[in-house]
Amino acid sequence: MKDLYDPSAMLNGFLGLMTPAGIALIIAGTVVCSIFAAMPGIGTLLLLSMVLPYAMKLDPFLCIALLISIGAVGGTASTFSSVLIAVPGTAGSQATILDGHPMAKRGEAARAFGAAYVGSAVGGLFGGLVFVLSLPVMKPLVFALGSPEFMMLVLWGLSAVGVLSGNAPVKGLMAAALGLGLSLIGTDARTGIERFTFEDYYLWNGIHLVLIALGIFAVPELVDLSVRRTSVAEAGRIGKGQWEGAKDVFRHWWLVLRSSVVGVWVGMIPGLGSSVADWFAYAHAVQTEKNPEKFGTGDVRGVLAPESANNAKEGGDLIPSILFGVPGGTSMALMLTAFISVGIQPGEKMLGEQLPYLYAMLWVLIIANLIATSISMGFANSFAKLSLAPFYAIVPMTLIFCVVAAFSANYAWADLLVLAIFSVVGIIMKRHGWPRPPLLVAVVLGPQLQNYLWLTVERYEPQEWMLRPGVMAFALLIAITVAVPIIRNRRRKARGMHMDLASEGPKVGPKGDIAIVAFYLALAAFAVSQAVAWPPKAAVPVYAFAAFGSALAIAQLAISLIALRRSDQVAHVATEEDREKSRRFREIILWIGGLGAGIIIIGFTVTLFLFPLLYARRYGGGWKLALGMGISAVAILIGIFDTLIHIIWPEPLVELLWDAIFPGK
Amino acid sequence: MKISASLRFAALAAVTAAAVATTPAVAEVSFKGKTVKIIINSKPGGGTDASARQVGALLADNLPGKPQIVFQNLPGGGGIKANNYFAAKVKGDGLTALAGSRTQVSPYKLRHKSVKYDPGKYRFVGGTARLGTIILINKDPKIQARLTDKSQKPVAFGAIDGERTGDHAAVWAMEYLGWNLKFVLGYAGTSEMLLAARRGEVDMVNNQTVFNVMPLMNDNMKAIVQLGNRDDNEKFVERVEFKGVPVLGDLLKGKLDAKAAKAYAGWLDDQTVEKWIALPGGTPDDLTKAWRDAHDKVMKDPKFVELAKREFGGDFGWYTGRQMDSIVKNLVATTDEDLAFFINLRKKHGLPIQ
Repeated sequence: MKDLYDPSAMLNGFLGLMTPAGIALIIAGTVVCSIFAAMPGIGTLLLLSMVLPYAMKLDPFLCIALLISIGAVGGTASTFSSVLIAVPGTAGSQATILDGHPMAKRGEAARAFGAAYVGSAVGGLFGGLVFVLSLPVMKPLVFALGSPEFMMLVLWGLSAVGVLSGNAPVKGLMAAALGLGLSLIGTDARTGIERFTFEDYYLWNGIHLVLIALGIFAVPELVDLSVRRTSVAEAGRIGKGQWEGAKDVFRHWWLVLRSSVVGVWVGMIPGLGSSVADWFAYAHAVQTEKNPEKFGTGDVRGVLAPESANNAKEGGDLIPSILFGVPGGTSMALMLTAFISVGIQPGEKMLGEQLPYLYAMLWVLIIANLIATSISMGFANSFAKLSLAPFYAIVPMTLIFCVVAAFSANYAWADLLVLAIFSVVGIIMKRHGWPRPPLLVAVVLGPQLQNYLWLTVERYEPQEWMLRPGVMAFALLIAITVAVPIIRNRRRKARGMHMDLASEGPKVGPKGDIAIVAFYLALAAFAVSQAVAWPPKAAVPVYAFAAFGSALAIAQLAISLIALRRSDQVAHVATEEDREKSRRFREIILWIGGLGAGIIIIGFTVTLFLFPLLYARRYGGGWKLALGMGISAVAILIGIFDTLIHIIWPEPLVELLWDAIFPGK
Repeated sequence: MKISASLRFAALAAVTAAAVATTPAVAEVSFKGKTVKIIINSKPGGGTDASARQVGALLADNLPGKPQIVFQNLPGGGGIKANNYFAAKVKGDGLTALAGSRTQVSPYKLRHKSVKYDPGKYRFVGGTARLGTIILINKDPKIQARLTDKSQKPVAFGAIDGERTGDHAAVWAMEYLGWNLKFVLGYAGTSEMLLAARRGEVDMVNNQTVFNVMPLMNDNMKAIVQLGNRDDNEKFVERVEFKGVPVLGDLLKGKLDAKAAKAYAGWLDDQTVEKWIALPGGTPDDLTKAWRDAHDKVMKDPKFVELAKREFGGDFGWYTGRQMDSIVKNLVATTDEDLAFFINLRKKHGLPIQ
């Protein structure tokens, strides 16, 4: 493999890019990608689609410069909204919310940004390095792994549910079971059965992850902020700056490197996306780091792990793409289409006569990551200052982002309905102390688990797959990662990770938990009642969810009844503060309802102008600010979603009514 | 790339009818200063999206007056949502077209209760031909020996959802060539499935594109059968890059009774189209002609042809708008009886019906 590391190929790859057009395209790709990634609901995949026809006409080096720079840095700028407003900018920055947003609340947004950006850069560079160094050995390694090992890998990720459940293990496991149940929604590939689709094509492909993430995390945080009526940074000051975050990367360098390995690992398995990479890395951090109880409360390690993993994944993605011509994900599939059309041939040819192209990709990965980090670091403090903005500016604008990002999932009214449902679920979970991350992790990994489980069972005899060395190695890894934190915590008498900050809403007692459990059992019964009509292959996973979930629900019922008996002995008297919180809670729920109703009745444009204006005016914002917010919301809507993406907006009721009264006008 | 006899007859009739009709003098069509829009019936990032953006950008350059072009993605229901919207809401003013794929004009899909559109009414701008699928098997002679020996363990045929042309082709082979297969369904996508074949997890897979198939053939897989492409004489022949690989139709010759042969011919018609672009029904002739001329120019452009051949294969083919009109009308006219035969065959051999 001496030729693989040919210095002249490395140099030619670099020189091929270092033309005015090459440099300009790397900078443009990185900057535009960063803007797209920072805007929830747009994403870099759309950007890649948009530039594809143009890229296919370019010289090969220029094509690499443009596309790899776009693909490389999506995970960097997406941190902005995750930290600041708990809205994941891309699928790969969901786990960042868990500690990034509490850091912002504590006034450490700049530090979180610094850690995320430098961590992303290190992850991206590390991913590129691993990509090149692993070329000689990766082929046999990739071929040694099959569906049974991937299934075990997914189970390893799911084993994190235990630590992500914090101090409420039964509730956490119930949430995870619900997540697995939700992942069953959609058309079952093995039988063609449309599971829980209610005879509508909207749910054929299941529920879009972004809708669940927004509902479970973003909306409840906004409700809390609205009840609290402070800025995101509760103390009203920004503490340590972005350079402190950069130093954190080096303080926790071992975690950053390990998380980067996780990212590369996930990237090289086709089909496992960014969302898997960041959750895997987060779970790995919680399971292996000291003081796991600090995770979920604004621990910088909870930002470093997912952020270094999601950029490292891009290097991992290149491994199957370049070695076998098999794209690691959708964005890589698009890139491969363009590469092939300009004459770049993945596979053996690229490891031979086209080696300079391979090194050009590596150089772009390095340069783009450095540019993206420099830009993001330059803006980090300015972004962080937004955490000092008053709630009446942040709440309405973020709600608008949530609504538009949700609508971008499928461009359907039903997206808003699903967002509303999961917002209610998220608010209830938060108020009642139900850990939310296990639900999302299970939704992310549920489809993968189901797929690999079935492929394993269909393809291999039980003794055949269970005795595979990779399977046994993963089983050992799962046992260690589950057992070690338990043993360590027992020794130290420490508690699990905190995971969810207390809700600002009115306090609730165990009666609420009992109601949730009753609803959960009803849901399981409904699922079973539907599944009985299906063939076993489609029905068995539903029975498994129902049985597992119901057993947990009964256990939780017992816990709640005991808690209820105890709470009955202590009379709770509502204070004036409680009553005020309840009033504010009802108010924000009405506002959210009004936002939804406005969109349905008078449409997006008018509602998105009026909502921030009215909200800001109601809570003390001046006319200048209120009008500025309204105009900004409409400008974003028209500028990006209308002009750039050309979304087809659904017709509001007034328009339908107009059409009915004046047909053809 | 040609179309079947019945489809060709319909196309000829349409052409003749158009030629004899008295056409009033019309003003020259120009899109100068206008913006045309192509609605893409899938999410950004998929094959239909990439193809629509690629062809669409060139179409705009070739439309009279060189209009601006914008793309709108309207995913949902495997294209049903966009087609329903297009059929119900879009005016035939020549400013909006729809880009779709084979699935949305397939007679199976058209029978779904959510479908509220009739693609037979669309005025097609043109389309690309679906290249004949290649079925590959592991080079290991022991595995190949199992393929026709039902006393042995079935050969594992990797599949995504059982809806792909090659999966269906395998069903015909199971029924009439006695192939000893077991479908391993559930791979998340083509990449995952092809990688599973490379590492030997599944013994057989299928794909159409040269850049997917060739690396497999250079490694551990061998092309065992191909669907082939139609030639000028309506015969299915070997693809340029796959000379020597038997054509399924030839292998089935003499083995199908009349009913089966009719169902097979109907199934082949359903595998004719890959991607298409259409204007709404009722779009005036002059506007339709402008789009069709632009499409034909794009497809004949040597640069585009070179690019398409590199991407899809040396025998990349395409259809004119009129050919597409005929093909789709024929697909729409497929009867339930025609479909029932193959549906039963799929059920018998373990493929899901979606």
